[in-house]
Amino acid sequence: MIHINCDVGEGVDNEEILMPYINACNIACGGHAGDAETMHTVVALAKKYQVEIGAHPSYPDRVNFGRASMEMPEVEFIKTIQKQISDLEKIVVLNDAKITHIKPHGALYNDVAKSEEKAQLFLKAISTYKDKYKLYISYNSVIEKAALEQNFKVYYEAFADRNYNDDLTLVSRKKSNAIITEIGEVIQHVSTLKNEQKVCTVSSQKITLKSDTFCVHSDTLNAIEIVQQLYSHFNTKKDNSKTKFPTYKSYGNSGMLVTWEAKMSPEVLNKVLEFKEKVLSFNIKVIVELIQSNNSLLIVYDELKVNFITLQHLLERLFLLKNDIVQTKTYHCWEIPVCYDSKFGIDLPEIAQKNKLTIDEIIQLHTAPKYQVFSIGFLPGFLYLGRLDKRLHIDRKSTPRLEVTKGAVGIGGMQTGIYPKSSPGGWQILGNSPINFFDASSENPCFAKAGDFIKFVSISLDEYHNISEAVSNGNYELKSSVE
Amino acid sequence: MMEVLQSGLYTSIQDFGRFGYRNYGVPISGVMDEYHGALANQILGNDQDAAVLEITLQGPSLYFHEATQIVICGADLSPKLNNQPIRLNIPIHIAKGDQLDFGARNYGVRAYLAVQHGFQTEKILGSRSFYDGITVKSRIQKGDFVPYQATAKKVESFSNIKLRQDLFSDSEINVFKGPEFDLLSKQQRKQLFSTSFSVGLNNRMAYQLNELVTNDFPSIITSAVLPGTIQLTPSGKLIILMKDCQTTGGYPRILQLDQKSISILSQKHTGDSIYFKML
Repeated sequence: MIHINCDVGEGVDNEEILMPYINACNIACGGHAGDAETMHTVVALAKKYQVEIGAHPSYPDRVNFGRASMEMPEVEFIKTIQKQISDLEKIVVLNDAKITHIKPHGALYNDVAKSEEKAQLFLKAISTYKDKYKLYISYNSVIEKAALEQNFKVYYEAFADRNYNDDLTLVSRKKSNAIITEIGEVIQHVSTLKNEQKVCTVSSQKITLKSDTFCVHSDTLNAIEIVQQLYSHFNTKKDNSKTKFPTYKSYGNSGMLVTWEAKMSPEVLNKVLEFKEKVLSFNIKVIVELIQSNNSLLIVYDELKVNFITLQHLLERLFLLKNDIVQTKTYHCWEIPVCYDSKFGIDLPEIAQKNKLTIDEIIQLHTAPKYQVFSIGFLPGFLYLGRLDKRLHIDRKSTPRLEVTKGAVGIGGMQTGIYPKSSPGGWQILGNSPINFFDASSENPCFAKAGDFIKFVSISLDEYHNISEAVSNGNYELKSSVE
Repeated sequence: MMEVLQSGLYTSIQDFGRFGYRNYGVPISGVMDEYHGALANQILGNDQDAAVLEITLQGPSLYFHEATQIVICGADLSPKLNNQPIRLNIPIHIAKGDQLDFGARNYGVRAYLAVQHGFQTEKILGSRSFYDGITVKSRIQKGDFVPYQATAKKVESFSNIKLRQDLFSDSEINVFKGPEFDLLSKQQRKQLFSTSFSVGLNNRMAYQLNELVTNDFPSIITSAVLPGTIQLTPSGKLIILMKDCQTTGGYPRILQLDQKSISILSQKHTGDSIYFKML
């Protein structure tokens, strides 16, 4: 395992994709980039992905992105550094999160590494945070000695995507070999640092360099690819036997099918629903639509903003996060009135004969269980229900009817269900429900959702007519209880 | 208003579809041939997903009560304005009282009629696309009045819109692997990619193919399907799902068409031949 950190909130707008791969982020807090809004967004994201949050103060120089050294009066300097950190602190508190570290940005980072005076000044500016936050600095830098003497909690940082000179300074960005972009080289570079605590410099010497965390520059052209590769090389467990499911498969040019065990069971459904809620709660911008079914989730994404493999990594990371970050969804049990009168139950005699049951027994067996809603599909508002009593299993009619009336309650094979509208169909019909299962004029067109339960309640023909009238007048309230 | 004097064979209002309600079992719907639907809107300067009239094989007779600009793209069904033949792919000025008719089919299956700013039928669940049970009607009927915004402003004509004859003549259909592709044996794969298939029963829900691919695959647990998905039924029938397809299905999803191929297929008629090419 390695610890990866990235500078974020700098306007590159790739945080959503970066966060799943990294352990810590350094958030621009107004000096070189960033404002209240960007800080807020990034802090919220970091919290969701359980990424450590750091303040990333800089010389107050947005024009040069904090990449030029600045001479400024001591008081002014201390004031701006403290303001940047406290601005981020306020936002972090609002998000009920915590700051873990401070990392100076750009030219300031380089200056404190080289100049005793700048190092002392910076430490003076952040002295109040000495016991609270770690300080990210480079090994063998000028600030290191001063920080250790003053009992700062030093955390050594090395750069995963930068070449080093023999004196352990970074190769200047003005030179063509400043940045390592080739993935294999980045991994080699990090492996040496991790395993030997040494860096291979541009002159091919191996020099001691301690590192607790590795920085990837999020504005490097292939930053996403670099963090992905580092993550999958160093930070994923090779043993995948425990998490055989779900599987991730490409489906169409913008679809990802996430599939669990090929079983129609409440346990599998639960896993699907739990993951669906998790994905929804993360409100991932690149995801367009989620289509849930019994043992799978089709994730439709914006293929212009994210590719399949990145989204898969993101979802895998999400899957591993603890479930307690997601608010549990409330599921209901709905009481569905059904009239089993012979007027509606046109196939009751056939079922009775074939399954050797009386009509009363059929009604009793059909109304006894609570059926879980596994998914909605086939027709708008058609509920796939689980677990029909075995004694009621019956083949579909040999010749389907051209029209089955709206509200018809039927059995097809091992399943029971309700036709939400008139349509051709081959199910054996045992009754009719007077309520609406789909209302296109409502933003929430179906009262039930996957995970809810349905309980059929037998009603008389008179009750059927009363409810039917109430439904058409819009004053019928469906009975339900919280599961 | 546009008055429907004759409805034609299957004429409906479609935009780019109804998204976000598939979890309730609501199909996407929308124009079958996205290329020509979007082109018609583009020529008039409309939003790409403005509602157009999708006309199938045999065109309607339409009477315009207000001035506007129209354009017809896609299949050539011999359109005539006040009995004079008109060209496809160019904006045409409509005066109050003009009548649009269609005649013999020269090529293609679906033509798209766009008006300036799009047809203004009711939006339901975010879309104007007709679908039985969601919108009041699933197709337009004789005597209907279809609303649009009257405008006399002329659209500049694009002289450089080239007719893409290849989108009608190509029989190559590009596919990706579907989620259950791995079930296919070597032999079945060979058959899929070396057979010239002919189009059987077809409508806005699905295109069936006549040639069979024998298999002994089990059904899968009901799972999401998409327009462009090719399902293989136990009887060996290949079913290519189209825009009005159900949201879930239980047959193995062996292949998936790309967007362009869905457009190409929707201009194919019963008996036309196609073959698959893996991307």
